[in-house]
Amino acid sequence: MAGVSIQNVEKAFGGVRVIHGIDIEIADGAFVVLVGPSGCGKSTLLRIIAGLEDVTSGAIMIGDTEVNDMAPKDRDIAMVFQNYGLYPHMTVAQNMGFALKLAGVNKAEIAKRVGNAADILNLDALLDRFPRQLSGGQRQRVAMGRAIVRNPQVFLFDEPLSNLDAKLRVQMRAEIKQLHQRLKVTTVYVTHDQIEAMTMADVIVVMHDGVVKQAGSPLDLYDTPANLFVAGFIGSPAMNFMDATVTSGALVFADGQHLPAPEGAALTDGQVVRVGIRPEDLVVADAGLSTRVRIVEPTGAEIHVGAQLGDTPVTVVLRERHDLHPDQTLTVAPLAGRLHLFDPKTEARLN
Amino acid sequence: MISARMKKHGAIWIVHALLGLWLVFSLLPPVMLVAASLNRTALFRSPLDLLMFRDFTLENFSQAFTRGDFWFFFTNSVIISASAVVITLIVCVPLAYGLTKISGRAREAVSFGVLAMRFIPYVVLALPLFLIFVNLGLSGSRVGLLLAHLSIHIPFATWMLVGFFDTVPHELEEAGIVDGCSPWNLFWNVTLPVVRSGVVALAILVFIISWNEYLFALFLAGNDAQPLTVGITRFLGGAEAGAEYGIIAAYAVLVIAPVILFALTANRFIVSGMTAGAVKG
Repeated sequence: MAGVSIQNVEKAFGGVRVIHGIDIEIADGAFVVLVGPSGCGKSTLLRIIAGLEDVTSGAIMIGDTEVNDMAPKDRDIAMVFQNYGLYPHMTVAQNMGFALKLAGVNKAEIAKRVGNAADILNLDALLDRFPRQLSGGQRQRVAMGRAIVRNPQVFLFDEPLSNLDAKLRVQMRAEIKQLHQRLKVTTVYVTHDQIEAMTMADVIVVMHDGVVKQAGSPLDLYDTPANLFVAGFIGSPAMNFMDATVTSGALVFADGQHLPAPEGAALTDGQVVRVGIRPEDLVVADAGLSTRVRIVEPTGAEIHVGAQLGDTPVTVVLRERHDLHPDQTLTVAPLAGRLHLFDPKTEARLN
Repeated sequence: MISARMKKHGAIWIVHALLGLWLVFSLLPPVMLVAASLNRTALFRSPLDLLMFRDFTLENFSQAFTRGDFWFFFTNSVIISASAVVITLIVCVPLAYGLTKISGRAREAVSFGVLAMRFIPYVVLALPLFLIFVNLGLSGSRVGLLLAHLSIHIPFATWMLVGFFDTVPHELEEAGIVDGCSPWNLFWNVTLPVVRSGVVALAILVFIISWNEYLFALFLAGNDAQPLTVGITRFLGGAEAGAEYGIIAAYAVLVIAPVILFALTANRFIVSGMTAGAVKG
């Protein structure tokens, strides 16, 4: 096993730069999720690690070896593709053993290793079937089996669950995570789904427009997003944002309502800040911000309230049950220490 | 009350009647051919007489074999058609695969160039080819006729094969690359098997086109390389007897029988859906 080090990697297709100098250190055995909206460069970065694309500049290290000029097969990686990429003319067993066969491993050894992988993934009964005879989830498992059989240093997953229906996606998510806990192989996983990222990752790397916006543990990113992009991207429902002006230690909103400014932030009077509050960090209170309820969505476990603070839409997630109606006034207050302040121009976090 | 069900019933009946008509329309010629080949004199009989085998005989077939020199023409047809298939595949499969690997303008230019060859009517090629072959000493040889056939097959087959290779998802080859395939392995063990049924179907098509080809054979085959399609013409007319339709019919049956047998045995290969399940589902 080995870690992966991405050092100042840039990538351009023709004249178009899609990755602008990325540095990521992936520890041995870590589960790292690259997440971001489509077009952010996450899949390209994964394909660079795999060797399916080369770097324009910078270096990729797997363990202590620079692999920039190595063919994919020599990098000791295995990849699971979004569309599975199974060979349609081969059985499940042949699909899983193909890499070993190419590497000249003898038949008995191939059968043994395919058998082990099939055990892990519950594929024993399917070894003689062809991919067309399998369901989507089974195909995905075969694709993982093909990766496991090779016993690589690094697993690469390229949006492996996006072709599955919602229920199966949740199930496979858990299976992949358990697989990682069992095998402890360094894993780089690409997704556009922040829930997948949050639930699976040891480390999340949020990318946007070819740069890393923030890297850290899921809860770090959730609790202290470093910039507006991460704050808005991570979390569902998304964080509420509203602009306020700093006036003698208070945050004054456009409609005149105000909150005390959090401590530990270097703020100057008259400064405009963007205040971020997560929907679940707002609680019903006697004093605080008075909002007008627009829509009430009970989900059972929670109530999602769409409200308005002045002209700004605000989402509030309440765990307790309240009898709420559209057009009534709801007074909410943020939990202590849960305000996020950002500079609207640089988008950087202020507190 | 005329229910919707009865209306539906009526519609189905009409559809079946139309299908029946179409069936008769399309099957009548081959049936008449077989009937004519098994009756003594085909020309002055009514179709009904022929279909009832009033004058049944196998004589036409033995005439076709003996007077028609069937095996001579048959050998030429087999050698030319089979060689055409083998050479077309050897040339076009790598060519088409290569074309799918280059991108942009180069690919379009080559593809169009290849396809443009298809715009030329064969008859335009026949005379120049004849003159060239005479000079090269290829006139009247199987090699010459084969080359003429290839001038038709190669553009056509390349164009078809590019279409097949384009259907192979690129993720499949990327999976192969990650699994450690050399470029040859990728082609031979990953991509080619996926398009196999298409290649087999194409091979059958090429064989049949060569087998049925008449125009080039007429111009270029001389005496020694004549295939069955030319062989049949010796019964079309002559000083002594006029056209011998019974023998022509028997001969025609003998010409199409191998093709039909060939197509039927190979039919199981012409099953699409090989790629089903490879990607998505």
